Amino acid sequence: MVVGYFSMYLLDTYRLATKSLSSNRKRAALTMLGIIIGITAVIFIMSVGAGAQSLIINQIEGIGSNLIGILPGAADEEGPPVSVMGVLVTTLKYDDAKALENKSRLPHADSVAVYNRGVATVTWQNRSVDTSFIGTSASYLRVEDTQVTAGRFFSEEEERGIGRVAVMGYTTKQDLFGDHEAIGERIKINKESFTVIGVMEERGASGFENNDELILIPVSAAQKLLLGVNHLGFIRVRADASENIDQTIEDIEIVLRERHNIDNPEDDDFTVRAVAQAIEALTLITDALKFFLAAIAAIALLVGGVGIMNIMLVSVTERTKEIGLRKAVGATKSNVLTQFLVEAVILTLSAGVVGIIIGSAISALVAVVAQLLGYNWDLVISLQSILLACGVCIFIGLTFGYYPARRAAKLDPIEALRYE
Amino acid sequence: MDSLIKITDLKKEFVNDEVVTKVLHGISFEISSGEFLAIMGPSGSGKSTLMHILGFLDKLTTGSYFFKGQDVADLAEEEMARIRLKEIGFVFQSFNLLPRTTVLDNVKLPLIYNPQAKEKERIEIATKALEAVGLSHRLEYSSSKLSGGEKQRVAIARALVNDPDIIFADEPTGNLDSKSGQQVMEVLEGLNDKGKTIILVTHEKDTAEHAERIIKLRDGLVVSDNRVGNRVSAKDHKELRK
Repeated sequence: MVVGYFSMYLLDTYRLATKSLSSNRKRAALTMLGIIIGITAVIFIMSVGAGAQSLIINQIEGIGSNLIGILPGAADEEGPPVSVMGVLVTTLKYDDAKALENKSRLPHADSVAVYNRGVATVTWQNRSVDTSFIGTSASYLRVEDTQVTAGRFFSEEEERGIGRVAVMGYTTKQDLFGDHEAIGERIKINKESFTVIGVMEERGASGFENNDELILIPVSAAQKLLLGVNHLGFIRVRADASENIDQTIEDIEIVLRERHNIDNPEDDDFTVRAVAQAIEALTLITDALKFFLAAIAAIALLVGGVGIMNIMLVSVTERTKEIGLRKAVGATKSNVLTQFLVEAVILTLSAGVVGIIIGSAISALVAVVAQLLGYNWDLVISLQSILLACGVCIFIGLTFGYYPARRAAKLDPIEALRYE
Repeated sequence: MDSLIKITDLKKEFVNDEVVTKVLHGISFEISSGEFLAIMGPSGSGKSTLMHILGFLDKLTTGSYFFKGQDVADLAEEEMARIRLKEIGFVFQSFNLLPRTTVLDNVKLPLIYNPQAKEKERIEIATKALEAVGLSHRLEYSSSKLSGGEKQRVAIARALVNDPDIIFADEPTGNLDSKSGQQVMEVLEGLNDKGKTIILVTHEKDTAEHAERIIKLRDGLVVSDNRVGNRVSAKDHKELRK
């Protein structure tokens, strides 16, 4: 019964409040503007932030979360090694990778592949394309969890023996050969002759690389014929299960330290990272960024709240006679307080709903454009952000509406009725 | 008839920044239920202040006030509001209707603060009250579109919806032409016939003559308190004018 009474009371107050507000729509709309902009910003930031986050994570997960990357050069705690920045470090060698295939030392390392990257001009007949190439192992397909759609990948002999064979990425094959059959064709990579033996399946982008715009050649060919080096760019190890990643990382570090004669881990000349860690780190960073931006939007909301308070104070002054009348016919202080608080919350909540709709629309637009541009962008409008927005609006309404509401409630009915 | 209002040596002073203004210097009288009373006096006599105190809009400074046998001299604000809601109806000189609001919604207003009635009942009650003042054809009109007399009758209907025992009317005909004024006084008389206590505050002799009892105030004190026998009804007034 108490609940029934209370809810009817709220319903009445709601009706009363909406009537008062709708009698001065223009002013209500202007008052709401600040909140609308603030909430639009919050929704947009959280949605686009989440979308960007999921884009980045999708990219990285594309590599495969059981993957462990080994890069040359040391790095501190969570940062990238300098080799990522372009500093040349030559400490990782082909034999290091072979050592990691030792099942007795690394029982949970499923497969190992090496990588040397570069860019080259690839020519076929009279057509040429600039593309990136990767000198890699025969185990590339297994490590990267991918496959050829035509022909075959190169063998271990070709891997070691400077085999002049090439496997084309899906898009590069299209660019160079069009619909023409590529298998068996002779191409030149930076003037060196190769024969195309296979074409990769279409893979899309992952890890900030486009996996379809490249050529894969045996690592020995890349090192000796194209790059003139004998060190590796990096190594990837696929763990057999995600629970074994940490163990495998340890195993890798032990083997490499042995091979590189390193006694003190602080002297490591390599960096071993699980891809999953990278995702965690990125999530943390982008989360922090999101909330920072949302905090800025919150400042806009605060300003909007002050605007609400101002307008409500004006409204209370203008409606002094009305408030006096309500009290004269029997409205209590708390009746009046509640009425004006509800009016404030209706204002802010309505503004919030409009902001949510506009913010969502803009976020959807961004998502559509991003997807059209080829990005793997998820539209994320979380229930969490909507509830947060609504909660914030209610809070602002109650906080900034309280002072005007109290002023209204405290009016002396006799004086209020005399007010001109 | 039961004692409705009993005040004894009621005094009121206002304090503003250490300046004390004494308005009522000791007023005593008793009002029974069902009376039609006029409180008269020149400007500054304190009649409005007295009405505010009797109507629970303000509190006396010293003295006693018994309402329906209960001591109400020092009530909390919430209690005073509750009494205003349930026991008293107010009619003001300047009507005080809510602007941009329909007649029906205006009349419903006091019901909103009375949680017992549901919306459907409220509409019924308000409609009946408007019928009682002869304005049932104006339910959905905006209050700003009415004539002065119609507005005042709406105000009376509003004063009736919580079925109070007393109607306080502060210069109810002050802003009206004589014809509308007549109509309004007729309505009040009709209510008195039905048993409602009417307390009129006015400085106009014509208006006061509708009452059965006239209390005259001057400088914060009662100077006379006379029953005028059977009141001059509004109909008789019309006849007399001719």
